[in-house]
Amino acid sequence: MSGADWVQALAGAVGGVALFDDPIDLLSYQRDCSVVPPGGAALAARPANAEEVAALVAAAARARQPVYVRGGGTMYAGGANPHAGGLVIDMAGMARVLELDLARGIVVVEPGIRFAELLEVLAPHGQTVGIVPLTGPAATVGGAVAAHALGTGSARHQSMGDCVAGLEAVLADGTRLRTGSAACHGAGFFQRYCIGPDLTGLFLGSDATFGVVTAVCLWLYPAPAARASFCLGLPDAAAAGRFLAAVQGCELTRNVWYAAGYEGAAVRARVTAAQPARTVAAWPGFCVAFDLGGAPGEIDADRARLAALAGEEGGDEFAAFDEAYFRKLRYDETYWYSFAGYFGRSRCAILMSSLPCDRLAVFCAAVEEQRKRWPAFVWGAASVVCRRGLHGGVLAFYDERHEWETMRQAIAGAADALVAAGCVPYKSGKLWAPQVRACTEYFQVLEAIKRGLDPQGLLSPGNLGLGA
Amino acid sequence: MPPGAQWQENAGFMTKLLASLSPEFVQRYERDLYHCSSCNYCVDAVWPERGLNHVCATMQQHTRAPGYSGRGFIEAARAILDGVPLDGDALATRVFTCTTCGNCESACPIGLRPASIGQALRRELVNAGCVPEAVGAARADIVRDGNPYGTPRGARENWAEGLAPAPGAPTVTYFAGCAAVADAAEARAGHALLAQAGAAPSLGPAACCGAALAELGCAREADALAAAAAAALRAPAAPAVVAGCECRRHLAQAAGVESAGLPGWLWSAVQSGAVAVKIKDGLGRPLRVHLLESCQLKRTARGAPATDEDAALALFAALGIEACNAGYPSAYALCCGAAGGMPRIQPQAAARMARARLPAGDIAVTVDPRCAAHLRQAARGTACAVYGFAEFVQAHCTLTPRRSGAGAQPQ
Ligand code: SF4
Ligand code: SF4
Repeated sequence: MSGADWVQALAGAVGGVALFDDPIDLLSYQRDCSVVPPGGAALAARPANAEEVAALVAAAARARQPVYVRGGGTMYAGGANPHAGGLVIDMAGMARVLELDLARGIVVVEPGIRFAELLEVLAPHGQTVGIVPLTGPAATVGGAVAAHALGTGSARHQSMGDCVAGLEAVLADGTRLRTGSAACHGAGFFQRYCIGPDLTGLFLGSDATFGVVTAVCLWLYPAPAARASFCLGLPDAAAAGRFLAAVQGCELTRNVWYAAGYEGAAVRARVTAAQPARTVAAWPGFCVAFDLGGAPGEIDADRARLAALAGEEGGDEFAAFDEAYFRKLRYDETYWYSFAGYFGRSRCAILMSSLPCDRLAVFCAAVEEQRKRWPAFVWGAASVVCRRGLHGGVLAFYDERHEWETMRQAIAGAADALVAAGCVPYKSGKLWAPQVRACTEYFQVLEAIKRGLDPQGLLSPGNLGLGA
Repeated sequence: MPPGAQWQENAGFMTKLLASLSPEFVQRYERDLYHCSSCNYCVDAVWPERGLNHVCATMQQHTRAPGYSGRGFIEAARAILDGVPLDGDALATRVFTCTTCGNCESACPIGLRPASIGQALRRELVNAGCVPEAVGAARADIVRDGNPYGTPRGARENWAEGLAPAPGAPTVTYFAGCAAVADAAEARAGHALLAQAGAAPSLGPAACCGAALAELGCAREADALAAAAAAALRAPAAPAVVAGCECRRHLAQAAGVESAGLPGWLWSAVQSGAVAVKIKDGLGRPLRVHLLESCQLKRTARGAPATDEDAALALFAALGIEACNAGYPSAYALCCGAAGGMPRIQPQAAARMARARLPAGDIAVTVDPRCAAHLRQAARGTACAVYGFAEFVQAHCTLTPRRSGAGAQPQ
């Protein structure tokens, strides 16, 4: 079918669904926040409910057209970029809270709801959800599920998938599947691990390659009664890695809503930028910053225990970083968007990987290598503390008009270097596709599942290296 | 049309547009275009800390097609610089369906300027002769009549008929602008407020200052009109200017004429002790109003110490009037659709925007006369009473000058 024919056939098949085919409107569906090249869809659709999603997917399958799914578009791995053309399904029109059950401790939402909107619904009930990305004003729950989001809550819960009790997805043939307890007709969502294997997990971090998520059930947690931020300076990344492993080992993360590690260079840059006159006698080589939440007495006690553990590694409180940067990042709305400062100067390519705490120094050394290899760019390393292990972010700043191509090469090189250093692709999208394919047995099983669920390979081709 | 003809036509138009693109456009906005991270905050963010809820009135009340959003303008402008062939008419339709409220610009977490880029695109499209029919018609009306409301030029100043000239030398120039054509009652109330506060108002020039043309992207004509108005407003010994709505911003930007809005002027006079204000006897208390902020005046005042909304809020607080949405910024609501030429270009969408802005009942007060006129139309048949600021003060308060020449100094 020619481009115009299938668009017409699909429009006829899906009736009242909002469709956009003007090239000017499609410009906004080319890419997410990543350094990955844009794609070019022939059509975008904004369904209002799961029935419309099923109709769209089935119609695209009949026309043998690829289907990409877009949430807020705030991810940085290119998963939403429609490289193979076809149809983009924009989930922004599906943003309702479907069910709020305080007794069961769950909220079921449509995937297009923004986190900030969901938090506003939950706030009067004193509740929150487990993970909230730092891009919460625009990031959607569906996007976060599809791309393994992290952020506020990672230190308590790990990542987005650990907070999902079940979901509904439309499969490539238009079938609607419910997972967890809701797979049992009439039971509803309340438990993830039941019946048999965890089918919910198939869709977490799958970048819409196995199905289009149309509803997500999240567990609720009481919102913290009090919060406090503080920072610890440690001699170097190796000491910080040991300290964080000890923190995780004794479950001291239970009241940590967000924690992140910063290299010495970043610490110096941030403190001196905010307070130029400041000289700190002994700048720490590494800083770990905490945002604690819970009962006031509990967080005071945890703070003292964290400081004591840091002391065992030669660390101490480092209030200057909290004052100059971290408190603003967490509480001042102008810093809400975590990378605003960076983006304000230039575009930022972000490469996220997972690593155990004992690899923190190796991770930082790998980033240092990139700095030497690509001196024209400014490089940064930041690590988000999880319940277990870390997610390490490589940040590289560039001028998109003149340096995009070179930056893509640099990021591809950084991805190889990180895997060689024992780090693992995280938020894979298209950014990590070659490295995902290199996980041979894992990738073979991914391909087999893909063949079973999407034999025509129409769902998000290119993501996770599938169907590329 | 044979295959490819549309593409060729688009490519031809883009080549022409690129060639005619003003150097200022590239200089001023290139950085924004290539720094945009496509994060979508400016399209549909929910950001309580900044009082933003879905951001864009056009996206909420006209279409969800993203080309109509701030980010859409950035994408289109970048595509133009990158030489992507776009359809000129489709581009113009999108760029001219925007209230110019600036909410997208407030939402951008890294300070990019999608609304300004949309307005700059309007100017470039006007220069390239590519504007929607409704825009061309609105422009012709403004040039012919000195207002966008279809009122003949000769009747433009009818609102001021019968106003008694101020005794003695004027202490304030009251420039009601063309909003007075749409809402004579508010314009007259403004004049009366100044007089009752002890000022001696004279009327500003009976001509368009160009603000309405500037919104449509007709920069050259708009600037020439502003210069002419400025010459009159700046005549030797001319008193300070009190003006409303978009005129203030345009006169300042295009001709360097500083002015005060009525709420700022009155509050400043009250604070200095020059005027006393009290609620009229016999009115039940507490009075409860929704103060609807104007996106236009808010943008004018960005970075300034206080806005007219702040002044109105302070005055209401001093009078014991409860602004019931004060703790929940009405910026959280979206543009009422009075601005950007929307009532002429997309009247139905502009009316939907206004209806969405109105509170369910009660009294709504706006400090922008143009918003007042637009909202009042939308409120017909509803339980909501819409007032311009001056009308509200006239209806509910008494003003007593305390010193001679009271309030002569605008804020
Ligand atoms: S200026 Fe206002 S109406 Fe125009 S695109 Fe921005 S938010 Fe939307
Ligand atoms: S203009 Fe700003 S808010 Fe809009 S997409 Fe670009 S970076 Fe995001």
